[in-house]
Amino acid sequence: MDKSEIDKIKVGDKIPPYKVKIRKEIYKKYNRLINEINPLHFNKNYAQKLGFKDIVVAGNFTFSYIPKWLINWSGDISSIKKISVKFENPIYLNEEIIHKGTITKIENKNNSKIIYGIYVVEKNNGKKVTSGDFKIVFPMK
Amino acid sequence: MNGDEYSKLTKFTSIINEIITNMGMVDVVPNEKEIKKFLTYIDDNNLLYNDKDYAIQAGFSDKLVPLEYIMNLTCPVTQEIFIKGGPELLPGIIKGVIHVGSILEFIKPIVVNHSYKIKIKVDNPVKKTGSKGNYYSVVFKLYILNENEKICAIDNHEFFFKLD
Repeated sequence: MDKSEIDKIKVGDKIPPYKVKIRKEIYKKYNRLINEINPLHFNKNYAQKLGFKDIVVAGNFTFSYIPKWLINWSGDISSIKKISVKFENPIYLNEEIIHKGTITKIENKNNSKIIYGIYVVEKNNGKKVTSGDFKIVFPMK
Repeated sequence: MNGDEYSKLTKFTSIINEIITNMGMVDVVPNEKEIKKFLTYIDDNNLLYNDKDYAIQAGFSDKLVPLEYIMNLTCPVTQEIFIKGGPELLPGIIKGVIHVGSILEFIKPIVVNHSYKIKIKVDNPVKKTGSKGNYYSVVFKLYILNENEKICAIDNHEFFFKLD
């Protein structure tokens, strides 16, 4: 994002939504990579005994897409200063999720434009699975 | 809070604090090969994560560890805490534990193949009430420090648990 685009950011602006499908074969590879030990995240019978419909995708994995989405928008990794995440409902394998964000506050301080925003992650049926807020800082020099 | 609940909570806090004290600062070296695989899984082509020459030209000492990956550095630490608690902790005192959220702060760049340390602190558990009864929230604060002991990232990692 160049300076003129940053200058135009205002409260109420939406960050372009980002859709991603949690593919079973990719998630299995991820579990192997991180040596997942919680059976909730790889054993369907165990997950169902706990009352879930299927294997629950770990929050660490679904969180991965949030910084990626914000960095794609801001254009600068170092601009992302803070992200909060709250896992509200389970995400299952092969489900599609959509990230939606809104700018809620802007401050101009210390030669920087500080952007605060909130986001939700929803399933295709509108059910909220994750929510949180973020802080992005653009130096203006 | 009744006596039994108080006793279990005190025991929980004592076990966790002892484990954290014994663990001390946890060494971590973000593994370049693992991160490369991770980036293919989430389809992230950012050159600062994927191209060492590009990262060096941009002023970094090596490829950056993706912000997306930071929780993969901190989660194993909290996992180890609960594993070290053994059956005395789970299911002896607590009935299940679930990671419900995090607040992550990104302060300095973290690069692959460099040594870092994770410093662990824990808040006292806080009682909460929900539709399915009482439960507790506990926040582990995980600080990723570089070789100069400067904070590079923080993960305030929150769990919910129920007492057995």
